[in-house]
Amino acid sequence: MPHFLLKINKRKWDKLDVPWLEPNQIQADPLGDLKISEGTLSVWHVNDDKSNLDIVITALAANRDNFDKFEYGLFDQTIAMSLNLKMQNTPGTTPIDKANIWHRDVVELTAEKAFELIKAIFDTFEKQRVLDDDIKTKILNADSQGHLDIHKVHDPMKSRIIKSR
Amino acid sequence: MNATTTTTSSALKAQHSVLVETGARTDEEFWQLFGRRITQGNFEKVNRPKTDTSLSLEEWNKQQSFIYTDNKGKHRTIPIRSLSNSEDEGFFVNNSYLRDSSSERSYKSGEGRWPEISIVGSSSLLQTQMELISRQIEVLFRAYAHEDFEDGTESEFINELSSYVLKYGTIAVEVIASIVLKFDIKPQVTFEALRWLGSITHSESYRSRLFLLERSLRNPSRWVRDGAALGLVSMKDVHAVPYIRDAIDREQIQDLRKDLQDVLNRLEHLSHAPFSSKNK
Repeated sequence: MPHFLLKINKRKWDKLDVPWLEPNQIQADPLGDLKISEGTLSVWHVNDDKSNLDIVITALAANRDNFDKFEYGLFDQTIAMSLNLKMQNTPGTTPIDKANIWHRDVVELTAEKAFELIKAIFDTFEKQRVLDDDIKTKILNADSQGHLDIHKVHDPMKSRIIKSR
Repeated sequence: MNATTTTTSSALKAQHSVLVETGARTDEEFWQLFGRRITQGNFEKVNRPKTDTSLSLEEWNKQQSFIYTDNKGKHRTIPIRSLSNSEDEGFFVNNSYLRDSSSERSYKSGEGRWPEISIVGSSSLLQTQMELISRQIEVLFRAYAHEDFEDGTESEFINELSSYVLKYGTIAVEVIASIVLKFDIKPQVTFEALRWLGSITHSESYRSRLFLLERSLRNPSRWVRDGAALGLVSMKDVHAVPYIRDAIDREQIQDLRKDLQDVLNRLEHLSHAPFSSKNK
């Protein structure tokens, strides 16, 4: 089954053993990673074999100001289905066009649904971190292979890429 | 022995102060091991020693002592707690009074003749400056307590912190270290500061940054431990390998342990590489 990718801050998803948290309870920190606007949450489709994962990561990382670490989580799309989340295909706006087709929006998302989503994915969420050196390599490779539209890159990142060419 | 004396500005030199040959291999080591434990700002610089020591930083830190090499090349140890300064002419070490005598450049202490002591520093002016920097950096940390830092985004906090380190070097790093050790700063802010400290290129503060990051791996906050590990992977210095290994052994949070393992793998890979650059 394919996955959805969510950009996260890994430390917010740590499984904590603290006195104020009862067993099976989750700290509220992951809610901060759901950047919901107008009831819409941005996620990215990742193929079952993860064949498009690298280009999605590169595209999201290139859509920032500098070569920084990138943290993300993957959850099974069956979870979204079981929660009856309403999905829409909306092209992404990153500087890598071939990645933008993998963008999806979860729409009409209520606070209750958002919390349910966190609870449903928390235990099986595949959290990963890509270190900044690797991000730099991925972005520069995308640039040298002509996948990156430099005109869509933020100015600080653009100057870093041009300097590294 | 001839000590290489590092001088300060003439204004600072005009004030009375005494500097000690500590046996520290670099100025940074001096501040890490010695300078911060005495009244801040009484010693600005230390002579670079001619002698080397086989003692590691960890050993020095464990001993909580001021170690120097005497004329005969023997290591001598004085508990740091016994150090104090005198406002007027000199300062006390182990109840022995050390006084300015630039012509002789030698002093008497309870343990015999000191190997290398010379005069260059300052006292009140530098102390005031240190206190001011310390206050400013602490205010900076607190001001960003509610900032939601986002990876890959330019940060005003980091820009401001950067200006302090570039201007004040090791002193600024020492101030940051003291702030980190207070434990009352929001850990997410410290996380940002530490990972950035590892990525800057600034040779003067290199050793103190490395030391701070290695030590921060033992911090009670998982954010601080993670920030330190990310800083260390940016420094690409295999010196950190045993500290990371130790941190992995102690880490209780599974995900963080995995992240630390990734850092270790990266550093160990570098140790096998024919050449590795460092953010000096």
